Amino acid sequence: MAAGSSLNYWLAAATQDLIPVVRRRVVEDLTNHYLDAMEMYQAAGLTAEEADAAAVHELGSPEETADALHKIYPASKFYMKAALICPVFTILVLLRLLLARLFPDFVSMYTFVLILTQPMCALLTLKALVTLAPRRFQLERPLTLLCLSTAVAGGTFIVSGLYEGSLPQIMFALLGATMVLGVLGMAAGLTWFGRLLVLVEILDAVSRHWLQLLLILNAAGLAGVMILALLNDRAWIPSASMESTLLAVGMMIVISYTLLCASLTWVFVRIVRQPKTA
Amino acid sequence: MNLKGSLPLLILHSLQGGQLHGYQIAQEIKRKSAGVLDFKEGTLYPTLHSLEQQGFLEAWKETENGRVRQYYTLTDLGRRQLNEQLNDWKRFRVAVDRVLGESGA
Repeated sequence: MAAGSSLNYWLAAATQDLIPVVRRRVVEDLTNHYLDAMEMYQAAGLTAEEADAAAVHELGSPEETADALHKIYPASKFYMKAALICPVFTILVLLRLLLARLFPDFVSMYTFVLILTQPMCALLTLKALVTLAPRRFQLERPLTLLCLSTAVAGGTFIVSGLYEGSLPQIMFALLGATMVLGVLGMAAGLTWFGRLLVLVEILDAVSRHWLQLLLILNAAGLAGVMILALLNDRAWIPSASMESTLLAVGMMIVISYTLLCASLTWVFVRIVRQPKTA
Repeated sequence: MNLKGSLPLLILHSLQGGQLHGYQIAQEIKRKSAGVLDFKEGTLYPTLHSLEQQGFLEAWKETENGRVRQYYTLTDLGRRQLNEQLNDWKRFRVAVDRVLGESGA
């Protein structure tokens, strides 16, 4: 067996089922350790194959290392199970529409109940994400993820509000007290979860600092959508000049948000094309 | 000699003198123990990561000879933890010596 390939087998066994960002760090640490050991053994007069065998033997059992790592870093399966509880928001949206079809006479009654509970369910789901995601992605600043999650959920409400064209309902949504209904609400719910799944892949790949800039732009983009939503109900705009200013600011932010989405797509495609490492 | 439970203490103590990377920490422990304390070095890194997560260590990357290495150093919390663990170890050693009938120096 060629020197180095035994290390690859060892690393594959030791880092099995670790989340990608942790796997990369552990592989880097252990590879450096192995290379240092190789240098030492070869300086002592061993051949490359003998040094490789000694260096890998020094690392011990990969299963023991894997057990020790899993005590610190939950396996990917843990996060997948947690992700399965996230579509509560989407399920609630679908349930609302189903009830509207089955019991149209009771729309006003259950609408009030769902208006109160739907944002709460979305926020509870987000809470789970905000709690788990910093560990999943080893983020040092979970507040950034909280901003993103709030912006994503808020954007969902706002997009639905745009469809309905009612500012008071948008305002209530921002306060977490109501939700705009409609076909777009269902689509927004489904795409919200889909967006998060895509974001999971991207967060695994990009560097932390770059990611934070993208997250800030994302929140800004949704703020731009909110501004445009405000313009839907012109009774809230005090003057025509203010309306023009808000329109200009909103459009600029939405354009930057579009560029952000294009950047994220480019990053995602680039990551998908990268060869997988050990 | 198995030192699984003592490894965190040994790592914290090794870093008292300044920053080290993983291989240097392992060699420091083996050298100072004259080879008595031998451990499987693959388990060093989970312990390092655990200590970092608990806030006892700070880690950063440096490029050296074209290789990117992870260096570790003690934080203030790590120094306090080291002192606590050293005191615990001394009490443990005295207690065991007493049971075994050795003088409790």
